[in-house]
Amino acid sequence: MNHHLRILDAAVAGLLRCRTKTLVVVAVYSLLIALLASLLLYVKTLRGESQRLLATSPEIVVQRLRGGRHELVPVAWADAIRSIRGVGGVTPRVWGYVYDVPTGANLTFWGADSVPPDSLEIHDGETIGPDSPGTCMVGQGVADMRFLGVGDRLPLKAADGSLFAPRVIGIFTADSALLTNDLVVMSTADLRRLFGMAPEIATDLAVEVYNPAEVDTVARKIQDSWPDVRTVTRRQLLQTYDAVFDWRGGIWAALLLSTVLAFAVLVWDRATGLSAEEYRSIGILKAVGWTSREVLELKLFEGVIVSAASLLTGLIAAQLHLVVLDGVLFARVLRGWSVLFPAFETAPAIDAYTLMVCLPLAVIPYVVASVVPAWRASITDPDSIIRS
Amino acid sequence: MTARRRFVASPGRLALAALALELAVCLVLALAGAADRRDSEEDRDRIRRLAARLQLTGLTLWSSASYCRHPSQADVFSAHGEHPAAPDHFPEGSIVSPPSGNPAGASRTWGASQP
Repeated sequence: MNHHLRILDAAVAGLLRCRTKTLVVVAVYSLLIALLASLLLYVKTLRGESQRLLATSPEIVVQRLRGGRHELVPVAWADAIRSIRGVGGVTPRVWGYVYDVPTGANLTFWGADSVPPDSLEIHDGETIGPDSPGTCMVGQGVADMRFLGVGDRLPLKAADGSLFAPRVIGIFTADSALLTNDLVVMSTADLRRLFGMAPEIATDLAVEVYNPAEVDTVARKIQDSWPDVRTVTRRQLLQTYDAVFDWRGGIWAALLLSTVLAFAVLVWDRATGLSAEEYRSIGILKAVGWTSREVLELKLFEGVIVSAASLLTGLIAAQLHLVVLDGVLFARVLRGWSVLFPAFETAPAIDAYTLMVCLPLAVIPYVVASVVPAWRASITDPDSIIRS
Repeated sequence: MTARRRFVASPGRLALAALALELAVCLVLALAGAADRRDSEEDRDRIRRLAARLQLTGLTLWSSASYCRHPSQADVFSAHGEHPAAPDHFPEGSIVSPPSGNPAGASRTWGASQP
């Protein structure tokens, strides 16, 4: 054991002799690993949140299409769908978008007859009830952007051009921002008035199915009955988010991976050509009695120390980047032009997938690049190395 | 030579100690994250109840265009690009994945398999 520790001492002393080179390699490697790991963890967090939070979304959403475009659905269809065996309930949903000119944000307006009180921040003494006319509940992002508090009014222009200013009776809690940040919830009757929608039509229909195994069958029956509808099942909805995050994460991972690989090639190129000084030091070690195995062990230790330090520093930096700096390096790109991006907290996480992606990239190229040229030098006659 | 002196005089031992410290920080962060997620499970249940009550079907991540705000509920072509992944007015619209499966199918959801 002491023998190996002495070789380790020699390896670290060797790294410290070229401390600038060692520090630059560790710093650049750590930065690349930090970027890659934080991207993987960020996308994984978003994918996990979408799967968890949307797990209670409707089993089937029925939308009508006309000319390939979304069309409003007759509410009367709900009764016919309800009569399909296996269907538990059908709820006409009324929702849509309003472009908010003062802020440049696109707000989502949602009609609802009730909201769980524990999802709102309300002042003492306030009562909530969206079915009471002229009231609304807004997401944290809407409240911040329009400087709204409970009791304030949100002036809106209705479809007929008249002013409609519902009073804010509650603000959704910040921890639900991923679902409610740009949301304005009001009674369905008020929303119909705002959008100019007649009571006999709805945006789409949410269908509840008793047995999850029958969802596809029910969806097919609905499509058979109304050729101009499309159905979106919960499974498809979740798969959509999976695909979007895979696509986005994949693009950035591909870009970052190419950078990591380019750096690995650079390191390889640098390490495979031993400098004259390194070559001579191997020769001296051999001349004073070191075996080839010990020289290889020395170089292996050098490679492992540099790559392990880079990997661990990179992983820690990734957590700090996500948790403390909110992923500032790529959040802007992931946000796109969204004016109302939800502030959501990322908990630190180090998972097997991230490790399995980062470990080979950080460790294998540098260790191999350190050991292979040293092996070539260590099997050469020490006398000829020193003289050369 | 005392154990402390031996430790300080050995750069190898110091390097191992530094690596062990970094590993410990990683483990502490992983454990703290796991505890944080466990603690927020109650909040998540509350949010899930809200999503179920309102029958929400999208995250509020990208609100600049309707087809980005509710990617599973929107038309399968975008406002300016006419098809997903085309150069688009909104940067996020350009990198939404194209639909898989038969694009002419009645039930079309991006990235989802056809029933």
